[in-house]
Amino acid sequence: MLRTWIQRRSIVMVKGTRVQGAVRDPSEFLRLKGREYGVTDGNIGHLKQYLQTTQTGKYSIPDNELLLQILTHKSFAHGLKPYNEKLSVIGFQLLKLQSSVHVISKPSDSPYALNGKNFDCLGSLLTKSIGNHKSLARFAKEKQFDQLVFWKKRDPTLEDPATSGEDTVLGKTVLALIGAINLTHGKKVATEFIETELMPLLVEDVTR
Amino acid sequence: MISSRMVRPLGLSRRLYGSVSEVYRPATNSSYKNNVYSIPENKADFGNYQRTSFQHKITNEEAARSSVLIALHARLGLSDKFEYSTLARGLTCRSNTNKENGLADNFGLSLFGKNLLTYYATEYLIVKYPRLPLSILNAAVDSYIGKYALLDLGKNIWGIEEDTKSDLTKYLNNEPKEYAFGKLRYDSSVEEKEDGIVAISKESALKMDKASAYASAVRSIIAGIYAHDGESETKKFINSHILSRKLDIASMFEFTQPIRQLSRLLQRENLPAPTSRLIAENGRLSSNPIFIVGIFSGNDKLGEGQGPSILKAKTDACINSLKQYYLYSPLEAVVPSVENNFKPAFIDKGGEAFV
Repeated sequence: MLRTWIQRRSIVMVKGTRVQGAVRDPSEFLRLKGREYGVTDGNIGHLKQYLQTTQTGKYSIPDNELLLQILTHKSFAHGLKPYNEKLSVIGFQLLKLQSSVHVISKPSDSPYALNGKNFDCLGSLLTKSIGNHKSLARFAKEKQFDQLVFWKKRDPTLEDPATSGEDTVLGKTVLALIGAINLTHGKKVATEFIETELMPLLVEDVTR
Repeated sequence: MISSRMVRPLGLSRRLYGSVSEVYRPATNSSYKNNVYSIPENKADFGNYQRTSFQHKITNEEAARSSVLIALHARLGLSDKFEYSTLARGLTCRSNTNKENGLADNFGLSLFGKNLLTYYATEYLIVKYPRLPLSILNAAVDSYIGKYALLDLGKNIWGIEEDTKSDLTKYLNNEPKEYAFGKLRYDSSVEEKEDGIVAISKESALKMDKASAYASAVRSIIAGIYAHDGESETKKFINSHILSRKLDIASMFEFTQPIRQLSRLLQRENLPAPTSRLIAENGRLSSNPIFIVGIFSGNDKLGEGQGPSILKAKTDACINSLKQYYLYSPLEAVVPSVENNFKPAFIDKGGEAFV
């Protein structure tokens, strides 16, 4: 006999005191340091304003949901909310490409340069380090994005940014910003963003 | 007796061998040694970084005397601006032999070519399949531009030959030295000891396997196109030689908990929880029953699966539903590197839903 039935799960959500095994009230975990997760001016306003005011709004991202996604790491709420991992992947690849274009395009007298491009600087420790997470985190802190990122520390007792994961998370946020600009405005605009906003800081960080 | 090169767990070492320094040796990495690169006083003057081992390079005149090289140049359809010397350098891998001879190699070129390839492959896949989980995206990028894919391209499609003859054989054959410039030259880490027995050397970072050598040559040729013809031509070359190859992404998926994963995905998307319904069955009491199960979210059917048991059919239906979601491809996807008429790409919610 052919039967149709609908499955229902009988899990109870309990509010108030935490009960082990019960589903948590989303309003409890969808927050960070008192800030509630969501498309609000407090969460995305600063980033939106930064993009609108830099280079007369050339890099602005009109989609508020996307801005919130840029600021959300996958460690937040167990990946239940849109997170920035894949944006950071495309941003990372573009930054890596652009930083190598940046270094090979410097004027060169080397007899081994090809058409004036010195490929031999690639592979050295310095050129490899351009765009490391620590430098990117420094950029995020300078622009005051660090307090806006939704993420969860693997161990709340860790304070050092290098070991707590803070540098990595902030670095990925900046990479996700590059990725989002790339997918919203195209490679040309994203490359300009890297060259004007990021590259001076990144090069200074590794060469000082 | 334990050699000073061997590494043992710290506690055991201390107990058995006393001082840690007797057992551990400082970490060394040859590529980071200062003597590999000559760095100018102003570290940001990247144009004047040099490899210390370089003493000479293959000139255009020397390279033009290699018939193999000219044939390869023509076979790849490289432009007149792409110099023969660049192609010869692209086929010269970083190795002990070339280091001793002071010959300029393709190391920097291959690194740049790798960056170009990785970006263009990632961009293409992210725009074409915006919802791919990161692990599948990485596997797909690797399938396009990994070293074995490039070995196949360089060896079987482009027909790059290896220079396997010894110097003695070349001398006895009266072979001019320029002839080998059109062939791939590297120090192999695999040595044929006897018929059927090979030794794999780990002694030097400058020895490489065949796939790495071919991959570095292909990447270097792509970097050479960038140097001589510009980024736009490089992109066309990558599209026609690499991204045009067919890749079956659907076969890369392997779900360990498809039912839970689908449930989690629908929760993230704020859709009704999945329900499975038996759509048809045949021969329940026979030795070869068949069941067809559909997965629904509310009234919308997400996928269908079949199998010899209801659980198998349900699992199959969940896998199909997940694949339908993750393999979504927008109809008119435009990559960000397009020069004109770019349209904002579809951006998904980040990747897979975690179970």
